Amino acid sequence: MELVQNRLKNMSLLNKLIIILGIITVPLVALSTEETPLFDPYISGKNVGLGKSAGLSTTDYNNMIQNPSSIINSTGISLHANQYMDIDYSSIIFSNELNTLSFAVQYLGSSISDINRSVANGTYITEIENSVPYEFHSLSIAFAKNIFGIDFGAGIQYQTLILDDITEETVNEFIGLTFIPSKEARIGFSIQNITPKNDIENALQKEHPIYSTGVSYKLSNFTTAHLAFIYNENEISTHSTVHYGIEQYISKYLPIRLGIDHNRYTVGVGLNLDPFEIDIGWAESRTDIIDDQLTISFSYAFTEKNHLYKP
Amino acid sequence: MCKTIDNFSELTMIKQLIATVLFSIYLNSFVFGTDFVIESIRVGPNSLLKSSGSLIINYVASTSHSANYYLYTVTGELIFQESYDSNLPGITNAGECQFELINNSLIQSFQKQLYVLYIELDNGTSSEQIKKYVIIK
Repeated sequence: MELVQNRLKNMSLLNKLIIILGIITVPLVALSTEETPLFDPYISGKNVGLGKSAGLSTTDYNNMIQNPSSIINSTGISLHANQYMDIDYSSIIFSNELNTLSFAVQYLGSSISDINRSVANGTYITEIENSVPYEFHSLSIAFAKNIFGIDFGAGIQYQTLILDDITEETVNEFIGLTFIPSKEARIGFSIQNITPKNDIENALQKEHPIYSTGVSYKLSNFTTAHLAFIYNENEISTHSTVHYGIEQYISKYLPIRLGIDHNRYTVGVGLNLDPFEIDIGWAESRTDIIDDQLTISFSYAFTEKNHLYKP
Repeated sequence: MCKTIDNFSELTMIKQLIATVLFSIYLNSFVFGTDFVIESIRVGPNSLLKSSGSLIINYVASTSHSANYYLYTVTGELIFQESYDSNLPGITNAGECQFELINNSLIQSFQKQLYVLYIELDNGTSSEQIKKYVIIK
C-alpha cells in the first residue's frame, strides 16, 4: 500500500490526469453497447489480457498482423495456442532483422478431425463411417523499416479454408505505422484486409477492411496504459469499438494485465524469465452458452528490447 | 387349517415384496433423481448443402423435456436460436425425436462455413448440454 502511495506521489500531473480520464471514460464509452467483438485467433496472449488494446502501439513482433510496424526492434520466436468453442488454433511467429529491414513470418492453423459425415432421408439421419474434413491455414509475412523517425510496416497474408471438398483461398494485405511523440508515448495506426472481398462467406476470412488506431502511454517503469479504437465492419458495422488495457509489473518478472475489450473484461498474466516469456490471456464470454477465450503464448526474444519493464 | 396358514404367509411375502420394490423405486428417485438419458444424437446432413439441405436433429430421450438450440459461427456470433416446450410430438417427447430444426429457405441465408450447434435439453430435474459441429457448404 505504501509502495502504491509513493508511486502516486511521484507521478506527474499529466499521468494522474490520464488515469482519472481513463477511469471516468471506461464505464461511459466501453461498456455502453451490447455487441461483443468476436474471437480473433491472431491475437497474442499478452494482447488478449489487455483487451486487444496493445496491438497497435507496442514494440512486439507478436502483433505483426494488427500492426506490421510493431516488429521493428523486436526479434524472436514465439508459439501461441488458443482455444475457443472447443476449436484449437496454433501459431508460430519468427521475427528478425536484415541490416535495417525488419521482417516477420507467421503460420497459423486449425483443424477438426471428428466431424461425423451423415446423410438425411426425410427427417432420419444416418451417420457414415468417415469424417468431414475441416482445416484453416494462414501464412503471413511482414516487413518494416524506420523512415524519417516513423516506423512503417507492410505485409501480405495467404489464407485457405477447407470445408469438406470445397477450398476457399484469399490473399490479404495489411499496412501500419508507428510514431513516438515522446519518451513515454507511442501511437500506432493500421489497416488490415485492405482490398474488400465480396465473395467471402465465412467468419475467419474477412470481407471488409479493418481500421485500427491505438496509443500506449508509459505511466512509470512498472505501469503502461493502452487505448485502441478498432473499426471492424466484419464484426460490428455501425461503429468502432473501444479497447482499454493496463499492464502493471508487480515484480521484475511478473506483469499482470487487465483490459476491457469493448464490453467484456479481460485478464492476463506473464512470466518474464528473460529471454523466455510466457503470457496467458483470458477474455470473458458474454453468454453462458459459449466458453471464455483462453490464449497462451511462449516467446523467446533474440534481444532484451521487447520488455516494457526497464529498471 | 395348514393350507390357510400357507396362504396367509404367501400373502404376507407378496406384500413385503411389493413394499420393498416400491421403497427401492422411491429411494432411487429420491437419491439419484429421475434418470434423463439422451442417446443416438445425430445432426445432419453433414456436410449440408446450402442450396438444397435443411438441418435435421435425431435423438432418443428417456423422458419428455424442453429444448434450446443455439447455432454459432466459429468466431462466436449467434446466428440462430430456437426453444421448444416439453412434450411436443417428434421434438421434445419421451422416445424418438426427429425433426427439421432449420428449413432450407433460412439455410440459404447462412454463409458457407463451420458452425457450432449447442443443444440444451432439460426434463425438469436434470439437464444435458451437447455440442455438435455442422458444415454448410
